[in-house]
Amino acid sequence: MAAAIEISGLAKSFAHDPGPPVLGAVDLGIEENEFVVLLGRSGCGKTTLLNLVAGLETPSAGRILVGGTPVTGPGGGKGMVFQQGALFPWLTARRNIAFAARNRGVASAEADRLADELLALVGLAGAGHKYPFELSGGMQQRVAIARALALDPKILLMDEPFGALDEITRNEMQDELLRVWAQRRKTVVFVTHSIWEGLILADRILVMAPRPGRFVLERRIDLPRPRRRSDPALIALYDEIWACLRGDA
Amino acid sequence: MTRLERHAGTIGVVAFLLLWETAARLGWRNPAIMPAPSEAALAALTTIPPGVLAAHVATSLGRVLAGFALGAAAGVALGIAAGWYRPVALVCRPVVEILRPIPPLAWIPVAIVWFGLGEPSKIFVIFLGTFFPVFTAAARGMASIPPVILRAARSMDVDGLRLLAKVAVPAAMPDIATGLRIGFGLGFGVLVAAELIAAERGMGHLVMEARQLGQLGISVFGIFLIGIVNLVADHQLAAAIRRTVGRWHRF
Repeated sequence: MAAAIEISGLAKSFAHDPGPPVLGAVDLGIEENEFVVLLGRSGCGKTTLLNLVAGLETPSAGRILVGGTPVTGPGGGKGMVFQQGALFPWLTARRNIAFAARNRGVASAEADRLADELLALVGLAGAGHKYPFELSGGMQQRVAIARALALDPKILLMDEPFGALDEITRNEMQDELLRVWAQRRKTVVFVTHSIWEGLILADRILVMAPRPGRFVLERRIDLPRPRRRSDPALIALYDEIWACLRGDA
Repeated sequence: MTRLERHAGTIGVVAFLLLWETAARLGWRNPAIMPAPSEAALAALTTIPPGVLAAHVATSLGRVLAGFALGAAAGVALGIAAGWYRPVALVCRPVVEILRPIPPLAWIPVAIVWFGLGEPSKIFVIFLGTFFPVFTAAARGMASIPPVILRAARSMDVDGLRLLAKVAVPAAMPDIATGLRIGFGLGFGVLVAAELIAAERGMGHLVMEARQLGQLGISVFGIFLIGIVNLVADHQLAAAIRRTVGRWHRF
């Protein structure tokens, strides 16, 4: 399969920040439609890695290819989902999604139609007229996913999108994301610090350690979805990852 | 809200007026110094033709709207620029910090020399009263946009002037709206003070002229008229904000 994302020798350090780089020289290849989870404690460089792929930050060294093209900035088929609070509060759910579509040149009427289609996809048909403050945390993140999809991206970059949700909503949203992903196949890079979240979602988990940010464990999960938290294979993986994370403390 | 709570405000107003009326009628004061509210209202309504009263209110409102419009436009524009572009902030801040604490009324003598005794000098002073709170609120609003909002916009490849106009300014609207309300209140206060000093019409002038003619009842009436007109105007502004920004933001 073609590589959707190719990262080689990628490093990032900040000018005002002495000490080891935030991200060491890392290499990573991600296949098309693969669901990759970056897992690690705060400050391990996982969000920095995501921002570099998104083109929101520039690397200190190395390079990133998305679909064979070097990343020079945002845009170009990269959709991003952030933690709660990234929707535009002055726009309704429908307008938030349409904003993204219009931004890539889709005409107004078509953008509205696409917004309604995506609202239905994330289970929010009929809630398009609501403003973000009128939506629950889980519903806001559904809109955020729909907004990212409105960019018609090849890759979806998700920065702890469910990190601010309660556990019940969070579990529901994981199922929801998998359902959407099954319908709209995308390459996904998903950052989290929840081990279980990674185990439920990922084709491949990469565990990261800080300073310099690097991969310390890589595990492929071939179990079919939906996965059960009681699956002995997942529990064994959980123990292994936890030992790895605890070890770098 | 219980029924009692719903009417609490009315009860307060009536109790206040009754207490004052009683105090005045029982002769706890010299009526030339402290007229009863009924005397004040009667004196004003019998002495001043309704048309003249309306003209005073209209003149004051016209001045405050003109000064407010200019001060708000300048304050919003410069505040947005200062909150968004660092060099603008660095240039503006010292000047603004020096001028801001000056009471706008201190400018009146200078304003009269610059603009004469007519409308422009009053409008200028109201402009000053409005400009600074609006400027400060707009600049703060722009500087305190949640970073994740801007990051989300940039991830959609929105930057430059589009980022400013389509994302940053709307995001700062709640702060700007609050600044407009504060600016209006200050502009109104400054207006009346300016009219006390130099004017031929307006509610401040009404208060001052009546005192000079020994008609203290009319002065007292004028003072309450100022309060009520300000209240109604502020209420309109607040309602306009609720209908727009208030649809998506909880103040």
